[in-house]
Amino acid sequence: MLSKLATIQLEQRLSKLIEQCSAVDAAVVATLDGYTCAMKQRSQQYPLERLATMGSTLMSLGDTITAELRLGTCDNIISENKNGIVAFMHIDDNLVLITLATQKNALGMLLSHSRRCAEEMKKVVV
Amino acid sequence: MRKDQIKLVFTGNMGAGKTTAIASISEIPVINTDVLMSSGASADKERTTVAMDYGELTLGSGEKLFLYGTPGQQRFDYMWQILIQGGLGLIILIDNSGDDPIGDLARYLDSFHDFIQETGAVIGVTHTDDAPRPDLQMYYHYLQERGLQLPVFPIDARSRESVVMLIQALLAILEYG
Amino acid sequence: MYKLYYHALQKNDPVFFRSMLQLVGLKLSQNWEIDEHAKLILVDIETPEGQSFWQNPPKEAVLIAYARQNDIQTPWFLPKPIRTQSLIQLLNELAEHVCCEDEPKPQVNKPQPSHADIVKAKASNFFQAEYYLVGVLQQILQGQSITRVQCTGFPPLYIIPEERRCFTHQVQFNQINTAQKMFYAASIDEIECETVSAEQLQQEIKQQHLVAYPVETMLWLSAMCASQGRFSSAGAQNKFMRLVQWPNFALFPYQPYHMNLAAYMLKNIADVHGIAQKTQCSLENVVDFTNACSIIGILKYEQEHKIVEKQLPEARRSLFKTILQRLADTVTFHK
Ligand SMILES: Nc1nc2c(ncn2[C@@H]2O[C@H](COP(=O)(O)OP(=O)(O)OP(=O)(O)O)[C@@H](O)[C@H]2O)c(=O)[nH]1
Ligand SMILES: [Mg+2]
Repeated sequence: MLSKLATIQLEQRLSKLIEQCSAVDAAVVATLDGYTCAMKQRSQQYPLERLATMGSTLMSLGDTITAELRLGTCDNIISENKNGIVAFMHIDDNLVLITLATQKNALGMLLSHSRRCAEEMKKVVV
Repeated sequence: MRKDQIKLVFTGNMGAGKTTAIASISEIPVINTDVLMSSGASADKERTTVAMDYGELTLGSGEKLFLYGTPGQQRFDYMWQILIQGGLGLIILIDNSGDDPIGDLARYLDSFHDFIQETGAVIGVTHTDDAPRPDLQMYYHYLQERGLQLPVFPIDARSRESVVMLIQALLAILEYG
Repeated sequence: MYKLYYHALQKNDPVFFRSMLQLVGLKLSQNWEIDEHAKLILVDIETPEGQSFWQNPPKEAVLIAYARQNDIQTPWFLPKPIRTQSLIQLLNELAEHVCCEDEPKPQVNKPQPSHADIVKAKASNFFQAEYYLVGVLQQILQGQSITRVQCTGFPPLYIIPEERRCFTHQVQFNQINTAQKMFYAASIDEIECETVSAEQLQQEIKQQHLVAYPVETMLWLSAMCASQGRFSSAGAQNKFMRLVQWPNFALFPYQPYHMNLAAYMLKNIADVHGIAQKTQCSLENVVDFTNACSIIGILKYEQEHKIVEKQLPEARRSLFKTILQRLADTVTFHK
């Protein structure tokens, strides 16, 4: 489990992500076995704990698929939908970042901000 | 899911041995989505399944029998309904060394109630070498109270022989029960 | 005179029991009497007092469990509340199987029917368990002494009735050979029984590397091997029957058709001919299976038959067959 300090730092980083990128509506950090470590959303409208668990399922499926196909580790999984986008990516071997945007055409922004966020978080949790 | 897919589904509580059982009969190395457990879950094993296990057996006819295992933890129950689709029947594994094995069984019987009604299920009780109680009679007693007639066998998920026994019993009830 | 007594019965139960006994008197095969020195004792095992009595019974006592359900699977059981039918059945079975005479049972409890009787039983068209190893085991299990069962040329089998366990050399379930089958099918004139002390047994276990098995394993094997496709009685062919529980196939060798029989007999009530036809099993195999189920106490006779028609599409059936073949192919038993 993460230290209290690390958890606070992750939460702060999530707040920063939401501040800096207007497209992000919600973001969660989850363990690879599906427990929520930190979460933030603009308005309390999404069941983020459930999203964390499902995110872990999807991320490990992604890892399994890319390993089967010998494509290296899975960088991210993107789910593009009529009313929004969800992106799943590894922070490190044990943590996953899941971000959600409802704006259309926000994919590029969502991915680049999330990726940077994940990289910074990786330094926090070592 | 293709309609003519031939598949068996293993479910049951965390650590009961679903991944192990599939590995003990699959002819390919099991494709699993086991990840390291964070300390949030209470168990003394290292890894847990978060999406599914997958194994295969090639039949004489050239067709494939697919073996799917569900994650055990309730948090992943959305996977249960996905994996069960088109299954021939259900194999429920219960870890007898848990705090409340009969209560665990109850949860899986509830969650998969409709599927079991439509197809059939067998129950394998694992870890009886570590935890002999509750004994088989207590399981049968509980099933009787629920008006169910499912077979219950003590098994060791690591033994191919005992996993085969579960499948044989399952096919028998599907055909004759 | 056949005698019995009771222990830890609650409230009005003693009075009720006495009057029931009077009531069923005419329907019993023997005259029964209530006597506080009787060896047969009915115990209410749902009371703490009855429980502790059950755990530590007086020497030589034969206990009958009195409870709502036979959860402990004891051979002598009377369901609560007392009903005439179950009482009659119990007492008649006790009269037949348990020695109730006043003289003490011999320590070496080897039943001794005449040689002619045994020859007759072996040649009979009917399977009479009491003439075989299986009957000997059943009798030992009703007593309390650790007993060595020995048959010339075969390793000994030790029975601990209280623990419902036995010890013998390791049995390879998947390769039971003809010689072993002969042992399981031995008739009583070929069997020597002798009581042994717990210490003696301990020593044997160590020296001979004996392995423990539940008694069900030996009861099942010995019934299967001695039955030889014979009905247990002339009436058995037309009786409707069902299973009350799955045989625990983890305990004994089985064939896939045993699974089919179990599945069918749990869902349907039918006679052996019907069962054989519906499961495409030979009559002999059905009879052996039902005999073994009856010995381990999971077979029940019924008045009415009840068949649930179920027809699986042919494609499904052949699919199941291919799956079973595939599973059998690579079964490499190593235990
Ligand atoms: N002692 C003992 N160990 C067993 C038995 N059956 C399985 N095991 C062990 O128990 C563990 C079971 O782990 P898994 O197969 O990962 O369990 P699972 O059901 O897939 O668990 P989740 O995926 O977390 O839901 C393994 O280490 C097995 O070797 C048994 O009968 N006795
Ligand atoms: Mg698993």
